[in-house]
Formats: sequence, structure tokens, C-alpha cells
Amino acid sequence: MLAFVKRFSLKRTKHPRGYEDPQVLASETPFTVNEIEALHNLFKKLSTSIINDGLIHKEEFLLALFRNSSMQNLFADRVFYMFDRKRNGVIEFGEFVRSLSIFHPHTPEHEKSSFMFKLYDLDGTGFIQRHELKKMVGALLSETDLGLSEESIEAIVEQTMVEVDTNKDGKIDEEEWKELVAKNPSILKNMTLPYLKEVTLAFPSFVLDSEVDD
Amino acid sequence: MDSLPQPQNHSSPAKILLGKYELGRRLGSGSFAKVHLARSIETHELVAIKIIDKKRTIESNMEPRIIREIDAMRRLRDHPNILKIHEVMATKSKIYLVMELAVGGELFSKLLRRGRLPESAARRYFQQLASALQFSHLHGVAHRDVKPQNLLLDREGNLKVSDFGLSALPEHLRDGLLHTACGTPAYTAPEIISRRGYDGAKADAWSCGVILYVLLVGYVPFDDSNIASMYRKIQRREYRFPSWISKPARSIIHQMLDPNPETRMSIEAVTNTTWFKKSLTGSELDCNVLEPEPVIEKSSSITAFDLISLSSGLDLSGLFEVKRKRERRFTAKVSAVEVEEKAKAIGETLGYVVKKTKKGGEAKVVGLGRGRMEIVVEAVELAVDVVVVEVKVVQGEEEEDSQWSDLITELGDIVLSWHNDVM
Repeated sequence: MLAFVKRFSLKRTKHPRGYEDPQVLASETPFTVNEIEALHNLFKKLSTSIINDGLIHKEEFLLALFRNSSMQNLFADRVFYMFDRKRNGVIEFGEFVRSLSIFHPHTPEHEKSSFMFKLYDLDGTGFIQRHELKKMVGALLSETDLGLSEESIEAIVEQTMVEVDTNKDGKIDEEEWKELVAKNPSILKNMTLPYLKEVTLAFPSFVLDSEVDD
Repeated sequence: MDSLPQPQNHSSPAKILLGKYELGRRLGSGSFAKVHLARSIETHELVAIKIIDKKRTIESNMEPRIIREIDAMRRLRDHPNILKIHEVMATKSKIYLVMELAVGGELFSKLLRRGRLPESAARRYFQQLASALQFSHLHGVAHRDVKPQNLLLDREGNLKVSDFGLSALPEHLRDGLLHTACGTPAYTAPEIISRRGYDGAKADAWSCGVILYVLLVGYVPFDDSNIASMYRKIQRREYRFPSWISKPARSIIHQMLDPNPETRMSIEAVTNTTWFKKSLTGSELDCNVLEPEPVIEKSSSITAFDLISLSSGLDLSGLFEVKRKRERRFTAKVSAVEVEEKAKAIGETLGYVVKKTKKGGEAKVVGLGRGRMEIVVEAVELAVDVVVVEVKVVQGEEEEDSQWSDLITELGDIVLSWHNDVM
């Protein structure tokens, strides 16, 4: 009986691919070890909702965000791409924690700003180009059913370029982006998740198998 | 005031918990846990930390109860008369619940010193207790162990109800009735003692009645070391009122100490009595005054990025939420000013307290408050003739479904199109 219990508990501590030591993650992020253990509870829930392999697949991510695993949404795709730092099509636990840490209320604004810039830089050229901006506005409009005409979209994009592209080279670079953020910090509001300060309360079952030494 | 009392033994250095809290003296202890004073190293705030020994909880199968307690306390964090939980920590052998410190100690040590309380003081504590319990019932949590040790006071002398450890949440209800016998006999409803299935809210009402009696009289209404004989006294309503207890107070206690939970006065009903409402100031009745949001200076006009940031794909809060979000967005048929007017009119029709909240820039914001529910309606003119309106519950989100859907229905007139329903 004892042998069985031992084997069982050994099995329990075996972690899936992509798992990282909470101690290491805590040293690199604003989270404590306990908070990372709590986030692991959330991760387990998200990463086993469709495919039980301890990795968050795109469908699982969409399911969590929209309660719909086949939702088409450009921005959710971009967030997933940004979280998937290794670009192997899945989000591992370490990637999940490091990416979420940027959304922590204590994370400096410049990190949030830079994350958002990369997210909007759809082609990864280091610039937000006019056609990318137009594509994003279009995506948002189809999502929200605003019913704006092609001309109005063009007008919004044009007005934004005039205001933000201060060196008039037809694209928004990171410096121009930072100036815009400084003028209008509310465009970063999605980059802060107050929930991250209360993950130990939201996912309290970590207390039962915490591996923090006394 | 903010300094941690020095430990008696100066040779032992202060113990630091997980690098975050400096542990102070013991405030109390129970069979599974002890409570210590502590100070946050980061903020210097004084807190109370409940330390639970895991070995003992596993032995006695207490684990689900602890998780339940944490969950209950988290749901009830928004009420001024419920002790707040700040965070939870754990090591291999211990669980730490970091909680608000009630510096005033137990209400009943005050009662012990004073004997009994004048009616107006008793009423004030009773009002706060009833308000806290009503709130917890609305959130699907019954306390089930309302007793003197769980009624604490803060610095200003306000009541803080603590220890929702025995509380049961709706998902643990079987046949709609609770079956675990728990509670402390002198304050426990008879249906709990007799181990019949019971309604937690009605059981809490019983305990409230006992508490009110004790506050006014100075001792418990039913007292007998023999449970069977106490139970008999309860059934026969065998207790006496001293001459100084007013008639309306007697009537309330009599109705709350009804051995039959079916006919017993509910907490809801008590709060509607004239005696209860007496000297209740507006601020206590409606303690959730809408705080104006910080004014955000917008020196730049609205750009495409403001528009893009409305995408539900960029809002990751859904990852953390199990419950439904009370938040909807729509494009309005009318101007932002007209949206504002409409929101105010609807608020008045549906009985909300209407507040116009100032905010920089073009946004028109209306705050609506009713009971503990607070809703914010914000209209922004994104482009010429494009007004996007966001309606969201900022407080009390688990309450009254109908309240929310009524409001959404009323707004229908000015909606051009609802945005993608992500739910």
C-alpha cells in the first residue's frame, strides 16, 4: 500500500513538457512562487480543455477568451502569437507566465508599450504600416458591426497617420508609438490585468500542494 | 500606531514569512489554526495572518473546507462589514491566509466590559451584521457560524464579520439544503442542532436574533450545558425579556427566535422594520457611493488605436473569469449626449441613484447605483456619427440577473447594433 502511495505521489510531481520551476519564473517576473503555483492551476485548466497535453493550443486559448474555440479574431490571434515566444504553435507554461507578467499592474509601462507595439506590427517589420493599421481597423469594425463605409475607415486611418506619423515617412515607428502612448495612455488599458494581483485568491487550491520550503 | 509590538524575547530575530510579512505576536488560536499579527514588508500595513498546519488538516479532511473558506472570503471582499482577505500563501507544511486586521478586537470583549449596550448602539451593530449577512446571502454564501468570536471591530468601531470557514457555497448545496451539523450551540438554530437539512440564510437569521438579544440583555437567551434540555427550551421559546427591552426590539427577537425556520423572520424582513431603519443614515443604507473615476486628461484626439483597443480579442480578463461578465458594448443610433440623457432617464425609471461622472475628453459617463449594484454607462464618439457605448457592472456583479437584463432591455431603443457577444 505504502509503495503504491509513493509511486502515485511520484507520478503527481512529474510535470508535462514546457513546465518550468516556479522558483526560476518567480525570479524573472513580478510574481511570487505562490502566485506562479496559482497560475499553474489556471494553466492546467486552460491547457487541458480540449487536448489534454499540458500545452495551450490556439483552440483552447480561443475557447477561454470567447467560449468558442473556432472564433475568428485577428487580435486574439496576435495575442496568441505574442505569447507563443518559441513560435512552435503552442503556449507552454513558462511562456504563459512570462507573457502574463507584462500584464501585471506593477510592470513598467515601457514594457507594456513595447509588447503592444509588436502585437500591432502584424508583419514584424519594426513598423506599424498604414496597411496594417487599415487591416486592424477593418478587423475591429467587422467584429463590432459598426457599419462604417470604406471611406470612413480610410478617413480614420488617414487622420491617425497624420497625427502619429510625425516624421511623415508613411509608417509608425516605435518612437512615434511611444509619443502617442505618452499623450494617450488609455490605449494601453488592455495591457494591465488587475486580476493578476489576486491570483492566489482566484486559484487557491495551490495551497494544498505548494512546493515552497518552510 | 503602525509599529509592530516588539517580541518579548529580544534575542530571537523577527520571523519573516516568505519574504513578505514580518510575523508578530499571536492574536488567537483554534484547533486547526492560529492567528498572528504581522506587517507587510512592502507596504508596512498591519494584517492578521491565519496559519494553518497542513498535516492536521489532511488528517481531519479539512482541505475542502479551507478552499471553500478562501473562495467565500474572496466573493465577499466588497462589503465594509466583512473582514477582507488580502492573499493566500503556502509552503509544503503550512497555509497562510493574509487578512485585514480588526484592531478593535472582539465586539464581545466590549460587551463583557460594559455588560450590555444601549439600544441605539446595539441597533448599529445589528444593522451592520444584517447588512453583511444579507450581502453574503446575495452572493450565495451563508455564514452558518455567527457567534461572538466572529464579530470583530475595526479602528472606527465598525463591525467586521469574520470566519466564513463553515460557510457553504451553492455548489455544495444538496437538495437545496445543507446537511453538516456545525455552529456553536448557544447561537445555533434548532434545525442545525437536530441535524435536519436546513436553509443557511434562515439559520443565520436565528443567530442574528440571538446576537441582538445578547447585545441588549447582556447574556444568551438559551443557556444549558445539556443540549437536549436547551433544545427543549428553544422549542418552547423559553426565554425572558428584562424590563428595559423596548417593545419593537422584543417583537423582532421573538420573530427571529422562531424555532420553525419556515415562519422565522428573515434578515431581509428585519431590515424593513421601522425599528431597524431608525437612525440609519442614508450613507449606511447606500454605502456604495460611486467614486468618480480619475480624470484622464486627453490632449490628443481619438485615433484608430482607440478603436482597435475595443477588440474583445485584446481583453484577456476572460482567461481569469469563471463567471459571466456583465459588460456589453453597442453602437448607438444617437449622439453621446443623447445616450447620456437616456441612461439617466432609464436609471431614474428603474430606481437607480444617478450620478454623472466627470471624465476628461469626449466621453460621457453616467454612473447608476442601486443596492450594492453599480453600473457605469460610458459613451464615446469615435468618429463623426459613430458613438460606441460601453455598459458594465463595476460592483455587485453576481447579483440580480433581472436588474441587469432590465437595464439592457431599456437601452434597446438607442442601440444601432450590439457588438459581438463574446459570451
